Amino acid sequence: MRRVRGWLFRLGELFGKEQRERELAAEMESHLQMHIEDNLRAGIAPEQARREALMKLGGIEQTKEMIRERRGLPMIEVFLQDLHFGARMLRKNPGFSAIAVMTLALGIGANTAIFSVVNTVLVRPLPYRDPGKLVWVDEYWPRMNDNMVPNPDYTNWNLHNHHFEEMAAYDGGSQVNLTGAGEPERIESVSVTANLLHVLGVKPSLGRSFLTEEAQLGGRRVALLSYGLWKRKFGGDPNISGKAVTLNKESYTVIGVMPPDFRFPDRRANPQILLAFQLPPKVDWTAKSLALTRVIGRVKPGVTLAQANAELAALSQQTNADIPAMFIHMRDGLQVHVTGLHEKLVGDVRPTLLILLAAVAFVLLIGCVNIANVQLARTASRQKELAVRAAIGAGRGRLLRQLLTEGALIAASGGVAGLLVAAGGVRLLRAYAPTSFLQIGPITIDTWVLFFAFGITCLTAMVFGTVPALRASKPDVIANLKEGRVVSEGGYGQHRLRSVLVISELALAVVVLVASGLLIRSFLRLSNVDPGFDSNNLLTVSTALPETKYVAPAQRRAFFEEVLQRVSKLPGVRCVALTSSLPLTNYAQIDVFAIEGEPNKPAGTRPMTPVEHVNPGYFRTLRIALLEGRVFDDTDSRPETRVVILNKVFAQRFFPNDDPIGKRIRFGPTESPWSTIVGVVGNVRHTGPDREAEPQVYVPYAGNPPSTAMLAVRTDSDPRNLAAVVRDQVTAVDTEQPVFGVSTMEQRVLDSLSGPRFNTTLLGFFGFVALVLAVGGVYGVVAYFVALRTHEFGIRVALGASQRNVVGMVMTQGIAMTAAGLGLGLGGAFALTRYLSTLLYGIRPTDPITFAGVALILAGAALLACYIPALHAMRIDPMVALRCE
Amino acid sequence: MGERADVWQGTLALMVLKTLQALGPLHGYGSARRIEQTSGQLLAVNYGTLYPALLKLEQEGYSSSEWGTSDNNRKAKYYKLTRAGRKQLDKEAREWEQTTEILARFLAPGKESA
Repeated sequence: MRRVRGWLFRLGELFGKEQRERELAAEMESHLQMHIEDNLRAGIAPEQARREALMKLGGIEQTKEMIRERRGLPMIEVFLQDLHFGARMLRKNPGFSAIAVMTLALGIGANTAIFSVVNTVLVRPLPYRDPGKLVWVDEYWPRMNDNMVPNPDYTNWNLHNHHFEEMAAYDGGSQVNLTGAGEPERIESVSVTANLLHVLGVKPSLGRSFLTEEAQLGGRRVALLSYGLWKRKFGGDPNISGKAVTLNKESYTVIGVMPPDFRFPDRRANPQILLAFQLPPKVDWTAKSLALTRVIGRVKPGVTLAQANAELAALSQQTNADIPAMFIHMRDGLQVHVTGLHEKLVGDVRPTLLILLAAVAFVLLIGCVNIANVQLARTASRQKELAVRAAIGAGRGRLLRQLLTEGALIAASGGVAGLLVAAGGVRLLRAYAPTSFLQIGPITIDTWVLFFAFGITCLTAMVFGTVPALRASKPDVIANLKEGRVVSEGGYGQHRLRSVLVISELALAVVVLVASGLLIRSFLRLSNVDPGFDSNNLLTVSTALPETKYVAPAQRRAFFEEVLQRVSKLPGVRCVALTSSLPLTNYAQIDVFAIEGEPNKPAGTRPMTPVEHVNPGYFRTLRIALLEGRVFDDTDSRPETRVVILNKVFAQRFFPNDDPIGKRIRFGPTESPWSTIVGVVGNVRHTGPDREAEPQVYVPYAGNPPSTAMLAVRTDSDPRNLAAVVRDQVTAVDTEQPVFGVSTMEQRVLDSLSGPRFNTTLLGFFGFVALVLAVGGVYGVVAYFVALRTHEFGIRVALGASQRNVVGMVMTQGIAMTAAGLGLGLGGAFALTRYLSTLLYGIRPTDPITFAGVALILAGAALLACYIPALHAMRIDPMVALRCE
Repeated sequence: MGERADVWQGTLALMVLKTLQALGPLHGYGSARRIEQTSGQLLAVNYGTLYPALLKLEQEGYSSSEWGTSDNNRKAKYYKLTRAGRKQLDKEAREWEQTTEILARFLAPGKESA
């Protein structure tokens, strides 16, 4: 209570300050006079009486300052004062202020921008109801070395579990042709069980969700549109529900529209239309075709992942009783995995994001150390000012606060400017980040991000404000008030501190540089990998024939033949390839196979291989090397010819000892006919430049033309110029045929590297900034030393030291700091880079060339930074140096 | 001042309160002198200790002040005890007596076994 009263009293004292100052002065003066009078009365001589009184009563000014601090609300007053004074000091030194604020703005901005991605991907909960309870359920089949959940397993779990509130499934999605609404278009669809949206807690923004009967075999064909598709294709028609859309030539009734911010809970799928997943209601392993499902469940409250996992694994074991013998073999060692949905969606990008965040934090730290160093220099040259303030009564706390306020002022300006930088950065990230970051949710600057920016701003203020402030706030009053060379005296502790700061920033920079160096080298390797084909001047387009319209293989063959004919006759076209799956796309077909003459393996254990259906011109057009035998020719185009071409890995793995040419293999079930091997071609890195080529075979497409085919057109000049005419040729054959995936092979290769390129660009940029900051720091400190020692150098030169001696002295200091920083940094990098290993291709995290290269670059730059002040020291004119006393 | 300042401040406030109670309204110099005399010159009261204590008492409402004229016709600020100050004095004096009594028992020779 008393305390509150005290504060209120003090609040009142904020006003009428001068009056009180005068009164205090008068009060103390009267005190002094009374004391002197008493002394006089006691018979002391007047001079002595006054002196005795003054000595006894102590410092009047200090007392006044103490009283001032107790009056009013000094915290606020002093803060305003410090702010005012700090702003004046910063204005007095605009160069320093601008560089400091810019450094911080860049650092804080970059950190905030990267954090906005971390926030979206790792921190923010998924945009579903109670997302912590959502899990992803998967089965791993060791025999197939693959993850998949056949629909009977899902149905079995769904019917018999006790740990889940609900379970839902969807299929892997497919591309469908949307016709009857403007231009025919190829869109992505996913079929979902009726309850998927309920499990996620998402409602359509228009219309309704699927009904249970619509998601059963033979149910009515209905569709939910994505918000984007509804706006784009249907003009946002509010009465869309009940209208029909045509997908793959079949009519579906629209039942609703998804909300605009809905994101499908699977990074691999971005459907524009949702269909009902029509599954049999009972566990049925005997059905003619099984569907592969992806399963999402909502566990009951209090159920752990381990419990859910154990229950589903047990159910999968029990169902073995109903399974045909063929599957039993395949299910050997089957494992059930229940993972949190969030973990499933972002688990693989977490390391990348954390590495980026760590790197950018290092850069900010380097920036802070730099500013701390400059602040240190500035406070050093302000020793006299501080000493005077201490002499007239400023306590240590008061000086500390003054210096911290100045630091906070810089940090706050940096923070505000940093937010602007972050806003720009977020835009760049939205445009260039790989889809694995963007798919989770929108990257925005929300409350959390602002909070983060505020937090790191405070942190930076502390980091670069505290060290110099602590050091400067206990000035040696006597030494500093004496006439003469204030700075060089008593400063050795400070020199050491400054060197330590520079060494630590060099070390930090080395770590960031090594990280970016490793990524750059890894990326260069990745870009220089021979993919096995020539991606220059290749235009790619895709088209898909609805099986409902092109039922017979002959119809499909006729269509593609016609397209091939027309396209290859276009001016500027050299040759055309047609395939079921171009390199860097998913395989269209993976089949079991058997080699003639080898013992029959039991079902479920037979090897599998991707089978690519290609036209005779395929290898010539993509420039895939022929190693043995021959490529397909036109005689192979007859459906009854059964020939096959192997890639090199296939030949090496399955025919290690003999020549495969002329041998026969067959695909699919045991009764299918044999195909003769006619050639072996070079390996193509089909799944990406970072993946070694896998065994793969090619068959003539004419035997059983795929419904989805991709064309690669080799052109004389820039392939993009031909995009429109090639598209026209396809639609000329069938006006209802959508053409999609129009791109160039070069673009596809670039896209396949977008993740590594993004990481490399960012880390490279951070490394560059770290280098500039650290080298700037070295320069600053060495130049400062030279300035301090101008007098000393002058004397040395006057006494006969050569210019080389002077340069040597300066350089020695610089070299010592650089060596220490490099040593520490390389050690730190050696310990830390193993966290990078998931991002590296083809080099080890301790790659000696990168380490040596970074050491060389940094040492070179740092020595250059020392050399400039050294040259300056060399040119010191002893007369001028001595006179400047 | 140094490290003893805190202890000193607390006890000084009590001494000032007691002095004001004993002598009635008094200026800073008078209080200082009185405290020094009472302590048998063992204590020296300087500006740096006295004035912060006076200010604190006033801020907390235990004393009030007004300008007056001293015996020697000099203008001076007179402090006098308020009602709250009197209560506070009683309370603090009691606490202090208790503390010294406890300490005395501890320090009294040969009695701790009792």
